[in-house]
Formats: sequence, C-alpha cells, structure tokens
Amino acid sequence: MSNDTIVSVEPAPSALLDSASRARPYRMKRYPFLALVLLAPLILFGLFGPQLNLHNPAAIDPANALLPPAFAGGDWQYALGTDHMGRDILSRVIDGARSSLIVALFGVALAGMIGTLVGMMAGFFGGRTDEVLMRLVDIQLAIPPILLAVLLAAVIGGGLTTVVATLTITFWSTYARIVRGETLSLMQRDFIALARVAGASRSRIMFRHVLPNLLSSVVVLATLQLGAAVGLEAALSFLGLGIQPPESAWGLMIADGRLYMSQAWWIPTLPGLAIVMTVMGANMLGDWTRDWLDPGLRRL
Amino acid sequence: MLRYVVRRLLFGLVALFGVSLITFLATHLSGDVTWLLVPMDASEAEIAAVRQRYGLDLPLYQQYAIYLQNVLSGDFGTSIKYNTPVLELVWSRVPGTLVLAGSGFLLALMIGVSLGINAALHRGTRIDTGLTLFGLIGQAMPGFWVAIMLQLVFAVSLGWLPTGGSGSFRHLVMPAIAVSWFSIAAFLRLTRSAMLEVLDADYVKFARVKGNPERVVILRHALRNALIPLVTFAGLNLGALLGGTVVIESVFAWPGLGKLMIDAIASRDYPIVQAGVLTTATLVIMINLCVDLLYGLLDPRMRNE
Amino acid sequence: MSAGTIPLLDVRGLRVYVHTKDGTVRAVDGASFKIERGEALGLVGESGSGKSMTCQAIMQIEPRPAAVIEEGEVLLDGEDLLKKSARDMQRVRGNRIGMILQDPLSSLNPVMTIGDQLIEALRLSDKTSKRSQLRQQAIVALERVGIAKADQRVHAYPFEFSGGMRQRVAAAIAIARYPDLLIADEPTSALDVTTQHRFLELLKDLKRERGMSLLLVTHDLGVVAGTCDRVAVMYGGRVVEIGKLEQILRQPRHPYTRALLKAVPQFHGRRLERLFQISGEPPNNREDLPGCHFAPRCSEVDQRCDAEYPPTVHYDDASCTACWRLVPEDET
Repeated sequence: MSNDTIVSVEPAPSALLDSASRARPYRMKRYPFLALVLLAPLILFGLFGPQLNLHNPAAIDPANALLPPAFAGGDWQYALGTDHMGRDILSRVIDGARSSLIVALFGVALAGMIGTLVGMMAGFFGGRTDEVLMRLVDIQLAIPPILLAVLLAAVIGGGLTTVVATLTITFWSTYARIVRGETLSLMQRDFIALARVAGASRSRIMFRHVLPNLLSSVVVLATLQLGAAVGLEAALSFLGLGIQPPESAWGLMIADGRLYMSQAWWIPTLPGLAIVMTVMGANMLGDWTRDWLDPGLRRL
Repeated sequence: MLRYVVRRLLFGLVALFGVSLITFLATHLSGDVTWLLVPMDASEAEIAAVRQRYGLDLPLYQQYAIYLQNVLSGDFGTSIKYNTPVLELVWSRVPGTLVLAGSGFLLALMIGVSLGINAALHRGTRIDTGLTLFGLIGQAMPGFWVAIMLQLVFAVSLGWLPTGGSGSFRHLVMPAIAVSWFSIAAFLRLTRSAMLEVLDADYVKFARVKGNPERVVILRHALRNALIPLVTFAGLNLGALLGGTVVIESVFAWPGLGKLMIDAIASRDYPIVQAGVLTTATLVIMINLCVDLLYGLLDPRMRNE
Repeated sequence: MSAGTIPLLDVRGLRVYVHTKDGTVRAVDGASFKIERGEALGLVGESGSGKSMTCQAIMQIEPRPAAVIEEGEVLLDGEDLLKKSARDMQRVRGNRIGMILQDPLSSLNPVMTIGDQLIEALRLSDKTSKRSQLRQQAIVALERVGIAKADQRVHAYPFEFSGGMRQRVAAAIAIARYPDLLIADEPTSALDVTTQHRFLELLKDLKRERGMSLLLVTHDLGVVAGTCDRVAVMYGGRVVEIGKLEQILRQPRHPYTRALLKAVPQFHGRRLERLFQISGEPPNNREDLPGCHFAPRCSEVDQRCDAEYPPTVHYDDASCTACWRLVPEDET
C-alpha cells in the first residue's frame, strides 16, 4: 500500500439516531375523499331525488309556511324548515340538486365538445383559421357571462335552455384556448409527422392521433369547470333568468328567501350552503383530477 | 413596442364590432319588436307607420348599418319605458358601476395578493393550509349569496350597515366586499402558486446569495416576476368582476349599469339592454388592452415582439 | 500548511437530510473538509453525491422546508455559521462568501438589467455612494470579467447575453463585494469547452488578484486539474478522500477516486482505449447502509467494508481518506 505517514485515525460519524423529520413533506391525497364526501349528496340527490323526497317540492301549503329547520326549534318532519309558501326546503334543495347537476353537466359537456373541436382546428390548420377562431374567443371573452345570459334571456326568455346555452357559450373558449395550445405542441411531435408521411388523411390524424392525447387535459378542464358551472347557474336562477318556477333551483330559492330574510333566515341561507358544498366539492375534485392525470398542468 | 400596441388596439376594435353585431342580432332575433312600440289596439296603418319610422321594414344588414351609424354618433336610441335617450340613462349609471367594480377590485387585489404571498412564504405550515382552505371555500361561495348573508348579518341582525341604496361610504362597504369576495379567493390562489414557482427559481437563490435582506429578495426579485402572470389574470378577472356587479347591484339596490339592465330585461326595454351590453363590453375590452400594455411594460422580453 | 492559522472554512460533520413524501434522502451525511485562505479546493463527485447540497448548506440556502441541516458545524474563520441568526447570515452572504450557481440563464433576474443587478450587489456594501458612481463601478466590474462595450451592456437584460457572458456577469456579481471565499457550483456545466476554459482562467485571475479562496464544485476532473490546489472527493453524501491535486491525480488512495481517474478517457499514442466504467449505480441515499457506501461497487471490497463505515485516516493536515483498506492493522 502507501508509505505515507498516518497522523490520526478518526472513527466514522455515528448514524443520526433521531432522523424523525422536522419538516412535514407535501403529501398528495391518494383519493379525493373530502371532495367526494362533499359531492356525494349532490350526486345522490341528483340521481335519486324524487325517490328520496318526503314531500313534494312544489306542494304549496300556506298553513305550514315559514317553519324553522329542525335544529333551530322546528319539527323533524320539515328537517330544513319551510319557505314562505309552505314548501319543504329539504325537498326543494334535493330537487334543485337535480336541476343543477343536469344543467352543469350538459353545459360543460357541450362547451367541451365545441371548444375542443374549435381548438383542434385552430391548432391543426393554423394560419387564417387560427386567427379567425381566436378572434371569436376574444370577442366572447369580452362579454361577461352574466351579461351574456341577460342578452340571451332577452331573446329567448329564461329557463333551462338559456342556462345551458349561456354555460356553453361562456365556457367553450377556455377549452378552445388550451386545446389549441396543446394541439400546437403535439403537432411538433414526431408521431404526427409519421402519420402524415404514412398518408393519413387530415381528419384521421386529428381524431385518431391528436384527440386522444388531448383528452386528459380536456377532462381535467371539464372537472375544474363543473364548479363554476354550478355557480353560474345559481346566479342566473337568482336573477330569474335561469330555471323558472315551479321547478326548484337553489338560486331561485335564495331569491325567494331574500324577501323573508328577517323572519326566516334559513330560506336564503341553506340553499346557499348547498351551493358552497357542491362547488367546493367540484373544485376539489377538479384539482385532484388535475394532479392525478397530469401534474404538469399545474397552471390551469 | 409600437407594433404591439397597434395590434392590440386593432384586435380590440374587431372585438367591439363583434359585440355590437351580436347585441344587434340578439335583440332583433327575438321577433318583431314593432308590437312593443305601439298600443294594443293600433291599426294596420299605424303599425306600418311605426315600422317605417323606426326603419324596421328595411333588410337586416341595412338596419345594422343604421344602428352602427347611430352608435358611432352617440345615438343609442330612446328607452321604451322612460322615454329618454338611452345614452343619458346609461351614462348616468356608469359611474356607479365603476365605483363598485373599482373598489371591489382594489379590495380583492390588496387582500388577495397579500394573503397569497403570505401563504407562499409560509408554505406547508398551518397558515398556508388555513389560507388555502379559505381560498377554496371562498371561491365556492356565489357572490350574490355572500351579499345576502352580509345583509342578513350586518344589516338585518346587527343593524350596523344599511341594507341597500347608495350615497355614503357605509353604503359601499357590503357591496364592495360582496363583489370582491370571489376575486379575493382567486387572487389568493393565483398569487400563492405564482410566488411558489418564483421562489424556487435560481435567481431568487442568487439574490439571497448576494446578501440581500429577505424582504428585498421577496419584493424586488420574487414578486416582480410573480406579478407578470398575476397582471394578466387580474385583467381577465376585472371583466368577470364587471359581470358580478350586475348581480350585486340588484341585491343592494345600488344604482349602476347592471341594475339598469336587469330591470330593462324585465320591462323588455331593448335599447337599454343593447346599450348596456355594448358599454360593458367596451369597458372590458379597454381593460384587457390596458392589461396587455402593462404586461409589455412589466416583462422586457415582450417588448421586442 | 502553516500550523497555527485556522482555516478560512472548516466544515465538520455536516448532515443535510431532505424529507420527501417517498422518504428521507440523506443528501449529505457527515461531510468534513477545510479550505485555507487563498486556496482553491475542488469538490468532485457524481450527481447525487451531495456536493451541491453541501454548498447550499454552507450558504444556508438549502431548499426549505424539505431540506434540513440536521447536524454539523460550518466554521468561517472560527465562527459557526449554522449558529448565526438569519440577519447575521444575510450579512455573511455576498460579503464574506460569494456564490455562483450552476445555470447562468436562471441565476439572473429576467426583468432587471444586469447593471441594476450589479449595482444591487455593490449597494449592499456601499450605502453612501451615489448611484452614478455605483454604475461606474459596475461597468469596471463588467470589463474586468471580459465583457466588451461594458458601458452599453450595463443597460441590457439577461436574455440579451449568451450563456458564457451570463456566467461572467454572475461571477462579477458574486465577487463584487470582494468576498473571502467564492463557491462555484458547477459553473461550467452549461458552457462549451472553450468558454469553460476562459471562465476558469477568469476564476484563477480573480483568485490571484485578491487572495480569494475558491470552492469549485464539479463532476469534471479536467476542470479540477486546471484550477485547484486540493481536491475533495464525495460519494454517497460523504467525503471519501481529500488530498493535494498532484497526489489525487497521481496516487489516489480511495478506490473510488482511483476508479474515477481510470474512467477518464485516455489516449495512448493514437488509439483511444476502451472506456472504463465503474460498475453499478450510485447509491440511493434513502437507505441506511451500515457499511461503506461505495462497497457495492468497489473492486477491493472485503467484509469489513460491508459491516461498518470506515474511519477517516488523516495523513497530514491536507489529506485524508475513508477506506478500510488504508486503516493500519493496529487501529481496527
């Protein structure tokens, strides 16, 4: 070996016994528990509403008007109290859940389909098509959604169609923008060039190659928008532009309840809580989906 | 830089045209408006006369041309209900909306951004979790509901603030909070994530390594860069905010453009609706333009485009 | 080595652990080395050996809250930096220890002119001079690192510079306040060979001019050979050998060092010999291996190596090694 003079020999540092971490690392929840808990009522009510109802949500019963909820001095028969027309609030909340669910799903689905199509075309064909389509996006973004609904309502009146139309027109542009961006970057990839070289037709490339790669972003975006959709629907119903009586909608209930606020605080409050729960659950689900499917989409 | 500005201006104009077209078509698609303008028992001749007077018998594109001409010369027509020029009506209400939207925006900016920075700086701790949760819940609360809850608590129960109307600072408090609510949460989340990204950047490390006090590192280096995506978002948010004022104005009987429009819908007063939407859209487009310009100023890399 | 003067930097038993959701990574697990005044120490090792984290720990800019300095001492002229308050540490940074980060592109704030960034550094040491004076100093600093047309360039933004120039600017900023020690964390990894060479020459000049010490972190032995006085070799979060440059290059003691040198491509006459590769993979610093971290890949391993981590054998003040093979029989 070596003939060097050894000065000293120092024993190895001992293992650090207490390696309990002093910092808490970031943990991604494995399953969106909280989100699902919050959303469960909505889904349940949405699907099985009519069967679950104790009372007919539209049944007017003036004798039993303005009864407080069970936890504030009332009867368990009307668990969440009654409104100014004697209708059971719990039943109406459940019924409203159905409306919100259907409307939100439809709106987001339609917006998604149109937006994705437009975005794909803009990214795929580029040039003029791209410019024109993106101008459309800009125009749409310049009109705040509520005003859009106002306009639409002025034209076709209120109701379910108005809401779905508003949702669709409001949300499609976000899809278009993002899908366009993704399409543009996908177009740079080799497998597209290969498909072209192999002689695939343009629509085939678009739908067989580009679209499947876009799907995860689209799904994430859709889940993220569900919450906003429910919120927008509530606002429209509140203004009277959305779901019309005798159908129940949470926004509508809040609007009604406003007038009786001083006597019956529960009428506007409780449906609002339902909205908060639902939107929160939807947003959390959206975030979780995004983290799960593609953490690179953090920016969304 | 100049090219950039001109381009954005042009786009803005195009967008405005689009909006005017849409509003025009919308009102005219809802059917023949003639019957609104005449009493119930009008004769055929009277109806025809009215039609002619308002140019409703002309082909659609001609009507649009006339409409555009009128708009550009400041004539938005006359309110069906109030029988006053729409321009006057709209003009008188714009300040109200601007005040509300403006204060809401400022409030959201101040509170949301500072909370977001705090959350980012204390990432992982309970402060961060708490603030993020607050942001999450806040974003789930519809603005109008917040408005009503505020009314319930502060006006009806406690009686500290008036339930509605305008005229003093006290009248502005609740509406402004309601308008800003959603944006506070949105700004919080966005600032937090923008800051977190920036805080991990090398140049922040480098700034620290130079020996800068932490405050300088955060403000001069981290925040300036985090602001860039924030500005774009803030601008877009302002547009959404303007839409939000519509609802809040109704709840608090705040005299603004939004309330005017909602009332106009109910009374089928189309000229007002048209003018209102066009005005709001113009405002939004102008704001977006300012945002784009600001973005160019903040990020020197953009200037060479 | 003059006995009696304390070293400028004395790192003792430094441990930096990184806590992630998949477990705790022992990025640095008991590193010790010294740097004298005016000396250039090369810190060599593979990715994951802990060299960068060591530097960050010295400056206390480790990525919190995940990374935690669990144990150890970092003595600057005898004072333990780890015991300093945040404020005091801030005064040390830039002033007594300067640092160049690895990626020149991201070290500079994209929205500030390089002049402003230089002035910012200068201002920290000089609170009284006027801004125009500082700008003059900035121009001089840029010229010193070889930036042409400095008086114009001072108003430019980072994105207007090439990688090599940006790294020079970063160097100018790092030494603007004439620190006693400059830590350069892989400063040349992002540069091409010619630029590398020029940059290293620059570092050597600066060191000579000011008697500044240099801690040069790199995975490239060639860089070390041209610039350093002594070399410290890191593996698996620990320092496995330290020695003078000559000794390390000619007579490396630790099997890992020897393997590293063997892996450097050699030209013999006109033929390029077959590239030597160290078999195996770098350690996963999550597991707690009882023995020497290099044992799984070592060609001279024996049973002591797997059982217990070897003690550090000191030869003189400047060199040591941690290998069972070199521990004299009577000490085990």
